[in-house]
Amino acid sequence: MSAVGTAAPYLHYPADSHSGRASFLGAQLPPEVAAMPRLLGDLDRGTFRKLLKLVVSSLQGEDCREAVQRLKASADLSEERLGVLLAGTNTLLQQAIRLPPASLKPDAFQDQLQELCIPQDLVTDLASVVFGSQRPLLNSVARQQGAWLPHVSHLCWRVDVAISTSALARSLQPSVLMQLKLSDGSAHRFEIPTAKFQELRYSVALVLKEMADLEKRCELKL
Amino acid sequence: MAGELESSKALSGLLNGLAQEAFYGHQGITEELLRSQLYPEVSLEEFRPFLAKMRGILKSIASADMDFNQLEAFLTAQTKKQGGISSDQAAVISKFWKSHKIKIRESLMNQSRWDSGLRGLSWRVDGKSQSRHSAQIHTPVAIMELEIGKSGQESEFLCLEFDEVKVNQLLKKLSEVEESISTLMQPA
Repeated sequence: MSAVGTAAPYLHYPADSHSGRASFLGAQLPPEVAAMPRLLGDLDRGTFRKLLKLVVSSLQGEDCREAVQRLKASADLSEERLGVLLAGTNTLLQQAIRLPPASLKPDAFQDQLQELCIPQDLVTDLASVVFGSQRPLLNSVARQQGAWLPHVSHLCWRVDVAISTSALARSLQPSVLMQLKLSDGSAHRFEIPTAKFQELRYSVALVLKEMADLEKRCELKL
Repeated sequence: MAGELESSKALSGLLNGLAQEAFYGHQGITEELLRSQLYPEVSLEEFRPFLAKMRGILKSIASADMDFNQLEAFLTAQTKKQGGISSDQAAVISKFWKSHKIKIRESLMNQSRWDSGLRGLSWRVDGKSQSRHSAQIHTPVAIMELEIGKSGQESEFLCLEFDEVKVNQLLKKLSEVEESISTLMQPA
């Protein structure tokens, strides 16, 4: 009991209350979201809108550190309070944006926020971010931020034919030289002997076919 | 009769030993080892020039990557030479080259490859369904692991991710390479 502390209010509003469905925030309310409502009551609306704008910029991938400092100074908010509000708003928006519109509808979103005792006008502001015109951009940024292995950003090649070497008087063997630049900034250069090259080409063609098949199967399942 | 067969077997062994040392990079095959294992009754002074002659012949054949016509002509010339080889020895050398030609050529080509080379490739196609940032993606993604290494060194493994567009681009580039090679290798 004491471990929950001041976040206890949420216990009176179970996640899947009378609506009967699970909250978009998950089975356990994130602590930063739980701590928000009591700080929002007397918060100036203009300040909240500035804060919301800041969080949206950050979700779009911008560096907002300076903007946070400016907000703190202009709004006369304590560091702790500002921290909770930023974290809570960020989590709220991130969790909502994660779900496709079919899974989380505007009404359900607003109902759930009201259940958390977030003031109605702020709920409207939050809803306009999640379901408004900025959503497509937020979606595409989220897609890019997904977990990735490095991918190839640039590929160049060269075919060499060794005419003669110190070991072989008459070689006449073609060899492919490949240079890969990757998304993580590294570069790799290597040679591909003819037999391995044919194997590579065959494998890549097979991979493409497998991907097309998988996509068809996924479409059918949906 | 038995003595001739013996020496055929010994010569075959000798050529193998020479190939191991000269082409496959096997260390530690010394003159003394070959003599004691294959020609124990022959003295070192007698063995040395014999070994040098065989080594020379094998190197000429390998360096020119002789086809079977060239080989025939070359060995015949050697049998006719003063201090050359016998026709039995020529037969053993011919048999040896026929079975080792491709392997030796590959090995010699490798000796002139100093950059990292592609040693292997594995791949997998996954259906990406969820991430921390997005609940439903449903796109296929290919993961390829390239094994790259220099001769004599341990491989490095490169794990790369491709979406369908990127795989297509890669395939297109590989087709361009293939076309280039075909054009180059066409008889003039």
